[in-house]
Amino acid sequence: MSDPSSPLPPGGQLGQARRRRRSPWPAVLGVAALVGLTGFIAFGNLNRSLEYFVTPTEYQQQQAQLQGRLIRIGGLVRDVQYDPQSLNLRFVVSDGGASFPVQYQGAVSDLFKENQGVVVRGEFEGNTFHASDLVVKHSEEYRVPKTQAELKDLLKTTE
Amino acid sequence: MKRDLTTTLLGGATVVTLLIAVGLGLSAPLDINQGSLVRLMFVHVPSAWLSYLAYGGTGLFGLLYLLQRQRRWDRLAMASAEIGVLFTVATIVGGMLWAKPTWGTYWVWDARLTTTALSLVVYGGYLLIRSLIDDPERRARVSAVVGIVGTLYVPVNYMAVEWWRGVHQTQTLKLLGKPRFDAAPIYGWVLLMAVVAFTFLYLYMLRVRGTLAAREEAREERELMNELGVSHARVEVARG
Repeated sequence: MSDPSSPLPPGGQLGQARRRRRSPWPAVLGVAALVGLTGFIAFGNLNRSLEYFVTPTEYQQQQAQLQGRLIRIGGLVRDVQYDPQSLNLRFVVSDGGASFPVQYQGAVSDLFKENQGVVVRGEFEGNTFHASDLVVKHSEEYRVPKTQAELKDLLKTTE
Repeated sequence: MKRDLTTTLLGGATVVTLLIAVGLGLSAPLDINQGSLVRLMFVHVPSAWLSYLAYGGTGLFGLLYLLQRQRRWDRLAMASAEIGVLFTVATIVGGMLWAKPTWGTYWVWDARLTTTALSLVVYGGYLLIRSLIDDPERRARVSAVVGIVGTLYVPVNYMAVEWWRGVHQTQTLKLLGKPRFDAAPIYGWVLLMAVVAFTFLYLYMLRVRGTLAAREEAREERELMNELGVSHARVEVARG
């Protein structure tokens, strides 16, 4: 009865009818689409690599290739000048080796401060980096206030 | 409905440990830089842990299926993949809510976040493939292979913050090299409790979903048998 090659009586063997033959093309195209999407997500970003940003030192070394292109630079924040009225922000991004002045317009995260890690996206105009996006990195270390002064400071900022 | 003691016990353990974790998490002092935002970590890290556990489970049960060819391993692999996708979404949503006030944006395409998004493609594909194959044995075999290969996601995602530069912080609990926990000890206890609670939650959900899948399968078999029985009877009548 279960041999599919045997002639079936009309109306019988619904179980066999359930198994349809499928064209392999939708599956092949689906897999190709997934692989393509994977490649696009992995390598389709600004720097054409899995690295999210370049450091100021790397930029200095690859200036010829990167000049005039939209890039991301990551480093530590130095010399912050922020005008809360006009939201005009100027600072220097540095990795110890090289540093570049950055200009950004807009509000920033509360964690933005001196010596904080930051990733800016934009392009150089002259020697100044004009950032259109600014992402603040934070450390993987978390600690609770140890002294009264720290506690007061925390209470003040969370109010 | 038959009562199942293991399921009840797992559910009870989940509720108790979750309550302890919530109590500990809400009473823990705030972080010096982030304030109360640090509490998002107590949800974000355990849900990421649960998604790793679930994807690992899909690989393990797939392997067990290939070795023993028992359908229940296939059902557990499927249940585990569904749980994994659910908690990957929970991880992403929780992480986005944490990222906005700290990083200043909901999303960045750095290596950690990108590979996490890719896991949805991988395991969404896994569930899609399952829905495309009618033959249960073939479906179990093919999806077991996909599930085992997909497990590669776990180490790649875990190591993404070490291998490539990005915005996401590196591990607070350092297991590579000399083990070290770079946070206040109280946060360690909260995280430990939350991870235990989410592990129970995984086991509980796996058991419930596995039971459901077994019942669905039994019903389908029964319906098929009934249909066959009816058509046989008709044939007999027609012949008679």
